This record gives sequence, C-alpha cells and structure tokens, in this order.
Amino acid sequence: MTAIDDVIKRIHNLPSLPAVVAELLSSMEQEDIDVHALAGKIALDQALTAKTLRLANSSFYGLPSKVNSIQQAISVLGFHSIRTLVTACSVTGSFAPTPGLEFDFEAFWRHAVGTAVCARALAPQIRLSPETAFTAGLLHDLGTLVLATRFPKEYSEVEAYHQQHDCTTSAAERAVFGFDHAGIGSALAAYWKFPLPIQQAVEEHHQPPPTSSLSTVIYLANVLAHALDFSGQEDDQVPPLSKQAWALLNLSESSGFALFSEAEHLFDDMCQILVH
Amino acid sequence: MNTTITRDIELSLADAGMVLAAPLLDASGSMLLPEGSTLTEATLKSLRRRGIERCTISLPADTADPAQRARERELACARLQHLFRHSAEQEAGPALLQMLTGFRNRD
Repeated sequence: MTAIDDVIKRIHNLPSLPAVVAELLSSMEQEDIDVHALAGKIALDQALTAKTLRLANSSFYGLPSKVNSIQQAISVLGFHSIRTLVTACSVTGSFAPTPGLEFDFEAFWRHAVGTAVCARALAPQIRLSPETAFTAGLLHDLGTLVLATRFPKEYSEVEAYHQQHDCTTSAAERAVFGFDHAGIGSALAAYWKFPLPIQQAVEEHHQPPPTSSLSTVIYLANVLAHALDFSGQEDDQVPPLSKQAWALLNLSESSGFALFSEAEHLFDDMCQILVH
Repeated sequence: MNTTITRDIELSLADAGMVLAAPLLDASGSMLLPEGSTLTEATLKSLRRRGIERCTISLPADTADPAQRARERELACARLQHLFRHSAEQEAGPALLQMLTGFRNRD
C-alpha cells in the first residue's frame, strides 16, 4: 500500500499557486490590506484576470454594466468577492487533465463548484463568511485530484472498487490506499498556504466536530451538492447526513427551498466559466 | 432547469406581468413595445384600442405543459430515490429527502 508520507512528498512536488494568489490568501487573515497593490499584481496575470472578469460579469452578479479591469471589479463587487473569484480561477486551472488518465475531471469540478455554491448559501445560517465558505467548498475534495493524478494506477483500482461495491469514493480510497482524500486535501491546502480554518474544514469534511464551524458548513454543503445532483454522474449518491449537523441548520421548508434555488442558480453561472 | 419558452398568444389571453419575448409591432411595422417589456394593465388597454390581436410572450418552461411538468417531476423524484439509495433510512437522510422531494414538486 502507498504510505501517506509518499503522497505528502508528492504534494510538495506540485507547482505552487501563482505568487499573487498566495498573497491574496495571506490577506484573508489580515485587517490592513493594500487593495490597490494587490489589484495591480492580479492584473499582471492576463489569463487569471480574463477568467475573473468573466465571472464578475456573469449573470450571478447581475451588474448593470460590464467591468473591464480588476480595479473596476473590486470597486463594484468589493475586494473579498474578487479575492474569492481569483482564487477559484487559479485553483480550478491548476490540475490539467493528463492524457490517458481515466478520471472524470469535469464531474470532479462540477461537484467542487456545487459544494462551493452550497457552502456560500449555507454560511449566513451559521454566521460565517460566504466567501471563505465558497473557497473551502471548492477545495474540499482536492485530495482526490492529487491521488488520481499522481497515483493513476492505484486510482484505477479505486474506480473499479467503487463501481463494484457502489460505495462512496472515500470508502473505495480507504480500501485501496488505506486512507482517504480528506487528509491529503488538507495537506495540499497547507502547502498552498490557505488559512488554517480552511485546512481544517477540508480535513474534517466527512466528520465535522459537534460544534458549528466552517467544517460543519462544508460537511453540509458536500451532502447537499450530492443531493442536488450537481456532478452529473449517473451513479452519484448522497452520503450520510448526521442528525446533529442537520439540526444545527434548523432549516424550515421555505428557507430550504430558497437555499436550494439560490444554489442552483449560482451553480449554473459559476460552472459555465470555472469548469471547462 | 429554469429555461424560458416563447408562446405566441391572442392579446385577450395576455395578463399584466407577462413579458414580451419579441417586439410588438403595429400594422405598418413600427415598434410599439420592445422585446423584454413587461405588459401592464394600461399597455394592454392601449394595445386593444389599437386593434393589436396577438403578442409573443416568454414563459418559464415549467408552467408550459402540465403533462410535461408531471413527467419531469416523476423523473426528478425517481432520481432523488436513486441518489438517496444508501442514506434514505439513516439519521437525517429522510428529512433532507423529504424537503428535496417537496422542492422538486413545487409549482
């Protein structure tokens, strides 16, 4: 079996996110941010800028007139929103599909974006930042990408096990590797210098602690993303939903419907741009 | 899931609040109302006075055809059962399934 240390070593051979994204991430825990300087640095990365502006101009934000520059996008949508969009564009662009690799990248990113939008919609219910929740939701399953792209032979065994037993991806990963993607994802989040609460949420997204937190939001968002059928995979399934986490949400039928609706609308917009 | 369809209807069937899917022209081809206008009681009265008989409106796809809508709901509920095949009996699975079933069946 592959030792978890071997996987962690592989993570450290992965390319880092662009320097400007690392700066944006450390700004998440600062109060005094030089927005103007950061905007200038983002704008130097043309590909990142183009993708971010497409998101900012999407129907989700419903801007009356288009924004044409990062600075303009920040003044209209706020720095926090733009930070989230830039991070999302960078992360979704960092794992290129390897030719010959039988891994459904599109389904993967659809579920990641689906979880991100559910997390963003859920966050206010538990008084957390929607932007931080969105980012954590997007990252939560990245460990799977690491395993699939760096250990393709073992990962095809995971796929086979998964199909044979109709179990969750985690169960199949544990059967083949001896561990699942949660710890791997959190190691990647640490390597990319995401704030600690996000690292923890990725680590704990299958089993959140009993108190309400970002981990609980991501756990719930993941279950919801499966239930709303965002990945488009025929054999998708909803993982177990703990009574405790569900009770923390305390959703009435009308707020539930509003939440599902909001998530679906946001998903459509985001997917068109973030998922190739 | 939420797409719109366009319907060409008699003006007498149009209600205030409906949205034009195509510009409304008079007999000589001049534009009376642009595409995207929301019809009001006042505009409907005025259009009737002018002898306009038809208009093209946009409708959300799910109000279009009751039989189609019923089929979509059936499929959506069956899909939910499939998604919840391992969690419909445990912990809060039933509660979420029930809420989502209501959501898929809503008007």
